[in-house]
Amino acid sequence: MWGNKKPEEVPLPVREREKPLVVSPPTLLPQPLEAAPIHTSKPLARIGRSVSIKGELAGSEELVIDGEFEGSIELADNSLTVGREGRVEANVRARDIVVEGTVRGQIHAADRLHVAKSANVMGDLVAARISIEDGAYFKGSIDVQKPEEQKAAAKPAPGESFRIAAVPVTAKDKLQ
Amino acid sequence: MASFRQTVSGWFQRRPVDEETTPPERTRASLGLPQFVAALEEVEHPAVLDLGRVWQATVAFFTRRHCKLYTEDLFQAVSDALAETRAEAPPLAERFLAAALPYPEESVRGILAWDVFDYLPDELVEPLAARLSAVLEPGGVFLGLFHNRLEDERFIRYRVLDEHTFELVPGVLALRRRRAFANRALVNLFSGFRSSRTFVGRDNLRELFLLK
Repeated sequence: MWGNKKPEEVPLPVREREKPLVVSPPTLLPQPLEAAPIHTSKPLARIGRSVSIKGELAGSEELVIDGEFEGSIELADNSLTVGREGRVEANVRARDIVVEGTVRGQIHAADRLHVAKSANVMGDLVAARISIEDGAYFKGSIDVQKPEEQKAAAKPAPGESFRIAAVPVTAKDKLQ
Repeated sequence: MASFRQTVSGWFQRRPVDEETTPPERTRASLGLPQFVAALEEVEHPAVLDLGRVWQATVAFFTRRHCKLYTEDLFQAVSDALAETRAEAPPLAERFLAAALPYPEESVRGILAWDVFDYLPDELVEPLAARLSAVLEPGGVFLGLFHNRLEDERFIRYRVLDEHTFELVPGVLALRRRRAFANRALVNLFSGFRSSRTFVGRDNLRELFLLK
């Protein structure tokens, strides 16, 4: 399962990462799994294997994470791929999301979410279409919602005091 | 980000198993599952708690029925709890329930427990039954599997194939089946439920359907 490692990548210097990377998508996008791969002609940014980032990330281009990220990710109408070596602890919003590595947090995909069998995912998943390969480690909730339902669900219902969330778990929850 | 690195390193250690590469051993007809599904359909967007590992077939089955599916691999949680050897660790039942079932009370419409109760250490059986009962909402349903005999002790995973059928997949966790419940013991264990039905198959596996 862990034997198909991609060729070693050379991490970019910090200054270089600040610029959007324009590359030929087929060379960097994940190979097709059971679900259709993400094909796009948009610019693609990449967080390399040796890079660790903490904070809020927002953008209007496709993103591949092979390093570590902690915080929040908002990609609106773009796609996110967490590579096999990628480790993300964040609330994530994007149009399409492919997880091959490790993610902990709330994951919202307006369209498609694919969890590969190499993935470790702990969190609450919301997407219009969800596929999880047998063999993936997953703990949390799975909710299939159309984009309009996701928007409605983002607004708390009148009188709603909590939402069931598998992650994060607070000490108070554990004591109940 | 050393702390984050430490946090996630444990997940890789917990990565189980290659069960996904094992073909299903066989299928098994279920009389409890149709009733379980019927009870879910009485409400809009029900929450279902699956205490087995995640399978695409099970996910697709419930999400197609507009369920919100919670997945908690209690077999893995049992395995982890038993592996804890630190002297200062809290009691087994306390750390098991805190790690595995952090859900508000009366927040779930249905629970699929598979045969997890047959594998639990004695000190976890009653606390887990009480916790699952508390998590179920009034009108909620529970479906569990209980072996009649201990002879065939292989660990099996289950997944939903369709409304009437489970698929059985040989598991690889090193869990030992610890008991075969007598009917009276099951009645006592789940005494807080409104009604119960038991379906016994030729394979000596009982399905227990409970309505809260």
